[in-house]
Amino acid sequence: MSNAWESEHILPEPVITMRDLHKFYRSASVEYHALRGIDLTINEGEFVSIMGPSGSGKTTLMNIIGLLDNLSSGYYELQGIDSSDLSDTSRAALRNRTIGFVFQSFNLLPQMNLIDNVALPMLYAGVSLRERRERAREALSHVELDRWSEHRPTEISGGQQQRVAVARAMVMRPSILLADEPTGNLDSKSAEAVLKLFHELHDLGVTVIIITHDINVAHHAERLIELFDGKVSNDSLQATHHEKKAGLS
Amino acid sequence: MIRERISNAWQMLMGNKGRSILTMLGIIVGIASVITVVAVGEGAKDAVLGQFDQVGASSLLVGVSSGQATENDYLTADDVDAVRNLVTELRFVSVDYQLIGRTDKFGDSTAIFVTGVDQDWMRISNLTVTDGRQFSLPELDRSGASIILEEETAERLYPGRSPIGETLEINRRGKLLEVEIVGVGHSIVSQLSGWTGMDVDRLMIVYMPLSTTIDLGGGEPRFSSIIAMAQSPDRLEATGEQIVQVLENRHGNQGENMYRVTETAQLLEQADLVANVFTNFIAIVAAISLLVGGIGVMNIMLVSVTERTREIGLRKALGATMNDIMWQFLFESSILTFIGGV
Repeated sequence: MSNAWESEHILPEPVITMRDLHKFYRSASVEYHALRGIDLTINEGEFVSIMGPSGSGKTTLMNIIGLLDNLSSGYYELQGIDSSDLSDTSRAALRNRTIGFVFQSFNLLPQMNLIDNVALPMLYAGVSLRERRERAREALSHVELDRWSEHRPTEISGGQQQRVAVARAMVMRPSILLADEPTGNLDSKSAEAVLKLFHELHDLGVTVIIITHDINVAHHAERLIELFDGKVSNDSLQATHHEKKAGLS
Repeated sequence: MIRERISNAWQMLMGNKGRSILTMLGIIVGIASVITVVAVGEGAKDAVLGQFDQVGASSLLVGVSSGQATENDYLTADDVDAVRNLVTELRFVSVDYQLIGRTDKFGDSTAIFVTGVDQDWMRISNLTVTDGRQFSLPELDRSGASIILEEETAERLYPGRSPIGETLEINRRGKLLEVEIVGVGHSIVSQLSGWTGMDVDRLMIVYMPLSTTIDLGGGEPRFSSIIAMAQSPDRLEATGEQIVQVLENRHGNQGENMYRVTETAQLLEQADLVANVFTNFIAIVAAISLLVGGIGVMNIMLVSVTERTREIGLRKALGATMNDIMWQFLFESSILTFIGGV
């Protein structure tokens, strides 16, 4: 299966490269070693799940991948750019263009209607107002919520909110979708709808990375990376739900 | 870009109207109190000083000032005529002549502070009648037995009713004079009395024709000062010097520094000073309340930064730089203070 993938794409470009990456958290009295030497390469177009028990470093890893946190030692390259060279402004710009985030608790701003929420990343990219509204409406219609565009997040269900969050994550057309427990707060039906969106994006060539502790969600991915105690304990390719279902039908 | 950030900040504020309004309230109260206090202070000052202003700028007082002055150095009616004739650039000239009489009309013998007035005096001192009438020319010329009551005095002695037409008997060293109250008014004397420490609560302040007052005083009166109004404020000093010269020539006391010129403007400056101290004090109190309002906004923004770490994290994840976040908070607080201020 991975061979088939590789035969189509002769030289897959790595989008994420980590070498011996460490992360310490220091407070006045305690030092906590969250990541203890991660070596990891994720290529363009992969669908990856990162699993692990709580405290294994999943969220820390996601923060580092998303350039939301600095690493303590080692090497991290995002889309061929060495993260250690980056200023706050260029980090923000790189994050804005490269990564779409989806969070467990949706994190839509309750003061804004849905279309403005979706348009927010484009505000920071300096896109014109007209284009922002146009593209946000397009993204909302892609998740089938354009009817609700002038409503507030509190007026729709959790599943719908998470779909809006996916639309927001994709509105800048990033190459990576980074999702932290995206189905953690959703019922199974809504979760399915969100995961279906992820598959659609993956089919369009987006690199999807899901951080989860739900094995059913993890099985949607082609590749499963398991973290334990700040290290990669397992990294394997797997048959996905998607393909199993396809095989069954 | 700035416009969009302002509208973004506005959106966030509108999303939490209750808090935004409460935060603004601090600023609203602070700025409102500063404006009110300054306005009231200025208004009161204008009301008091405006009274002087019509006359104050170009009027002056020349008085006997020396402790060694003898009877001979004091001024007579002839001196006033001489000044009127010899000093050019003079619009009006009169004397400052006041005496104290008594009346039994209001229980125990009440002191009456009588100011003698003639036509020029009324112009210089701006005697304005608010009830009844002014003195008529015959009254002024021929020792009319009429008086005008000072406003506050009238209010105190005839509370809630008009004293016009009432009569009272003035006793001055055994000499009795029955007078009729023809008007109620105020002049620079009533304004000045407040500053000169006269006990307004116990004194009756009345205006009476100068000739009547001189008759009541008895004998050939000697005045301690002349009041005058110059043609224009910038000729005030020269006019004062000329008056002093005329007086010294007539009394033969050149070089003895017997007469001193006081410009009403100087009195004004002192009054102004007192009013300013008062206004400043209250303005400081108001400024403190504004400061408290400002601290309120700072506090709310500080709390909201802590409270909104999630939102900040999210905005950063969506590509906001630290600068973007900083500007957003700055715009939010600026909008609050600006609207509150308006």
